[in-house]
Amino acid sequence: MALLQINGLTHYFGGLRAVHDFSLDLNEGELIGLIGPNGAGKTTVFNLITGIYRPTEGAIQFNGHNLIGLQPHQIAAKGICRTFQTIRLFSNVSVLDNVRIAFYSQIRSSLLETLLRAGRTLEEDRTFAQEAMRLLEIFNVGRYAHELARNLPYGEQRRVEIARALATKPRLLLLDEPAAGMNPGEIDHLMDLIYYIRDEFQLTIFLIEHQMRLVMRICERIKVMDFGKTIAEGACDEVRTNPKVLKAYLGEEVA
Amino acid sequence: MLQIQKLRSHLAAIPALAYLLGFLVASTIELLVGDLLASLLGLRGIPSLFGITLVQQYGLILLPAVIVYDLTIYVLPIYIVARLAAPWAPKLTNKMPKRLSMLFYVLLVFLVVQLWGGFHEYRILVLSLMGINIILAVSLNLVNGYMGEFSVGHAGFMGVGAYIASIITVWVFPRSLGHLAFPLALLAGGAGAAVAGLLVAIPSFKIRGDYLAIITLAVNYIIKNGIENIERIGGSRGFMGMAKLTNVPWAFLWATLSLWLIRNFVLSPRGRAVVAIREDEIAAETMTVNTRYTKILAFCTSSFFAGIAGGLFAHLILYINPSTFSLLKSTEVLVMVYLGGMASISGSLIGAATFTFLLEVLRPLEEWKWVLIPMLLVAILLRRHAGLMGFREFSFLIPKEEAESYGSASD
Amino acid sequence: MVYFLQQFINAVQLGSIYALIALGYSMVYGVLRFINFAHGDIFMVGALLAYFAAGFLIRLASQVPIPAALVFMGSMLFSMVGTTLIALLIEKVAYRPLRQHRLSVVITALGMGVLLEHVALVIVGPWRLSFPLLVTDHVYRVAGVSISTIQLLIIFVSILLMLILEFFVQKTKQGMAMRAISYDRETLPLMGVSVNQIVSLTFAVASCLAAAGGLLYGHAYPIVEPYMGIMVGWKSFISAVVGGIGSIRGAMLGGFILGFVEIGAGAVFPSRMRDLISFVVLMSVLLVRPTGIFGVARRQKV
Repeated sequence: MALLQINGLTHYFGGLRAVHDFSLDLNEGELIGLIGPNGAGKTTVFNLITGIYRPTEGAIQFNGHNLIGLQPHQIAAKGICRTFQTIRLFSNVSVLDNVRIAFYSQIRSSLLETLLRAGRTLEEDRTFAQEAMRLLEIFNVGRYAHELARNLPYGEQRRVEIARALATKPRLLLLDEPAAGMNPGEIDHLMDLIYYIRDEFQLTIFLIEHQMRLVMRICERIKVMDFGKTIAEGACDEVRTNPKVLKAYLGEEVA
Repeated sequence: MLQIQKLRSHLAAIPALAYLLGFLVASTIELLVGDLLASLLGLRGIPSLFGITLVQQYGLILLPAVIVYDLTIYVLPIYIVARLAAPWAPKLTNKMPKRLSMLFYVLLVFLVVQLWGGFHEYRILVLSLMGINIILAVSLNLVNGYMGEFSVGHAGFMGVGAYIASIITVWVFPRSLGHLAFPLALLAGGAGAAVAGLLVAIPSFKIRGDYLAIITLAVNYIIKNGIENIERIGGSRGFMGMAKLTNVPWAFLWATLSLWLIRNFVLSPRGRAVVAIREDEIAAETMTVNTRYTKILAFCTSSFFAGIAGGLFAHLILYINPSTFSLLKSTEVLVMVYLGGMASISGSLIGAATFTFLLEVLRPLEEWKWVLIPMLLVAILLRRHAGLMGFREFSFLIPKEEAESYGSASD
Repeated sequence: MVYFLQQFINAVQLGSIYALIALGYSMVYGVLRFINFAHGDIFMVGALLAYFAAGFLIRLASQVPIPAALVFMGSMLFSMVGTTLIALLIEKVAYRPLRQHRLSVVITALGMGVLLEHVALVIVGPWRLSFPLLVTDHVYRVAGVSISTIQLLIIFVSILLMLILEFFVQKTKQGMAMRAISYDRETLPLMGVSVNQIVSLTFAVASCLAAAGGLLYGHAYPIVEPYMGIMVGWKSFISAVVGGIGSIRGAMLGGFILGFVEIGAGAVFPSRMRDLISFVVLMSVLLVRPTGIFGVARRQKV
């Protein structure tokens, strides 16, 4: 059974159809890309999966569970986490705390223990801090742990965002344009990083990207969207030469 | 100005514990010889608030006498004892485990407070009010500072607590059981206020920012108006008959409790979720934070403590009526919170204490008081945009690394 | 039927005053994203200044023949100018330096409101002043409904001012700049528009409207006192929010809605529950439509 099964996902914003009949079967361990011109509806698909919007039509199953109607935090607790197109860190909070917050679903101590700062609370606090630090080290931003998130350079902020997402112990990681604003050298780094976390954390990765270099090199399968519809799907080479894809990105050739 | 700098750093180098011990000695001296000294100086009894009100009321003639009094009883003993104690005072607490030293400090502060204020009617009033205001400020700061909302109706919850607690001690329990019933009455008041807090918590799921501010305003007003319309408990005429159960120990206890519990909450993983909501609610949700539960927790905890403060207030002033818990009172609490500093436990402590002190000390000025205070507020805000201790903490309350998490004041 | 018409007129009268003040809240919010909680007290200052001007002009009129209309307009002018100056002073000294820090500036506004109330208290004493009638009060009876000249005056002047405002905002360059700022504050200076100037202009217009409201309120409810701004202020604020804060049409609509709700509630329920009902109704409107009626739902891009 596929880890993530999406069927006939459709979503309207008022009268505007943002996503039309999107379907996908994601198997565990896969690394899949979603590409398409701006405004194609890619981020909307992510928002629908993570529960930020409730789809007008369609079904989403994760690990056998139906996701539709669940609150975003419930979906996140089930093992789907994401990063955002525009970085959404908690700006006025330290980098370490940004990651610590993501351990919320792993809190086991009771409210009473929290208020008295006794029992499991202290232990959890310490554990979460240690694990958060470990994640930051992996992404090479450990030295910024006590720095305010908003003070970090753009590239490091992106990495903190990924580290934060990993704190939720996801099985499926949705990356929304992780390479935005990066130069080729940084993109190569990012690629290695994505391979590394896929293996180290046993993740399934679904990513939205514009940077063809990244997508073509690491994705096993690619889906292409335009105007809310899926216009192509398949392995990199198939998609790269697909005329519909070329038309969507480059426009129609004037005869 | 160099001398002032040197003086400042010299004074700052002396640990707080030493100053506390100094104040302890000073209060003892005052207890022993205060009256005598006052009459020698021609003052009518011990000046209650360091003589500041006296000078305002009776003019500058009293100034020399007041200065001599303050120097002899406060300034000199405090400084001398502090200087002497400075070298060995830290050693006292360094030997103790963290929890024990915190308890030690609390007990010491209590001793000082009780010695200084416990035997003087007016000081008891001021200190009790200070305790009540501390509870109000720190509980509002949880919602306004840490969660980043703008709640302008805190007085409403205070009113709920005040009325419930008063009804319990006056109607439910016989007078003789007053002292036993008091904590129960307070807790009941708090619980009632917490339930009222849901009136704001639930709308907050969908409504944020300025619009939620209106809801809090409306809730405050609805509570106030609601009480006015219940004839059984006195309506707009008010309610009385409470025994004066609030005193310095009780006020101190509840203030310390509220500071401690909220501090613990804010340091915990659940507490961090509150800040996450302030920063980016959607991102928080996506990172597994149950924002609805957290909002309920924050709002209800906040109003719970406001209710406790209300109960304490009712048993101090012995008369409550709905107009006490109006927008004006909510505004006072807001000023305390922002003056002291947003998202800062230490800030609420300072803001509330300073504000209470200012209100009492400027009392002879009457209307001018409220002309001066806003100007002072603006002056402080212009220097420190998030309040005196905005986003920062005293290190004894919250360890340094933790305090950084809440962001330093953006200047 | 007659009763309804009567109440209708009362509601329009009350609503126009709320609308005038609500406009001030909405305009300042639209331009600065900031709720000027001192605005209700600006209204009170307007009423107070109008009181003084009226008193002076009436005394003058007893020696020099001045037509009543001139006395009226003179008082309004004096009140508007005085109120505007005070509001601009507060804006320059207290709001402008804190503009970047939203929450601090809001609390400052609350403080300024308290300041104004108490300055008034200090200067004039604990007054409950009786506003002089600047218009001879006739009561006309039309189809069984009585309507006084004062009511006509209030409604007429309010609507006139609102029309002038609408024209100003839609048709003049400054008005366009005011609207532009509410959409995008950062880009505007790049177009050669001084944000500070527009902000000052907005405050000035808002204060003039509030001053007019104060003068008119003084006619309708002839007791003026230092705390009159509080209740009227909060109610107008709620009107602005219900109509959609930031929207001028919304403020006008909201003001009238509140007028109707209040008169309606007062007609049905005992008078001491009147305010409570108004608040509950308004809260319900907000729960159903959180951004207010004409409010622009700021759609967050996720």
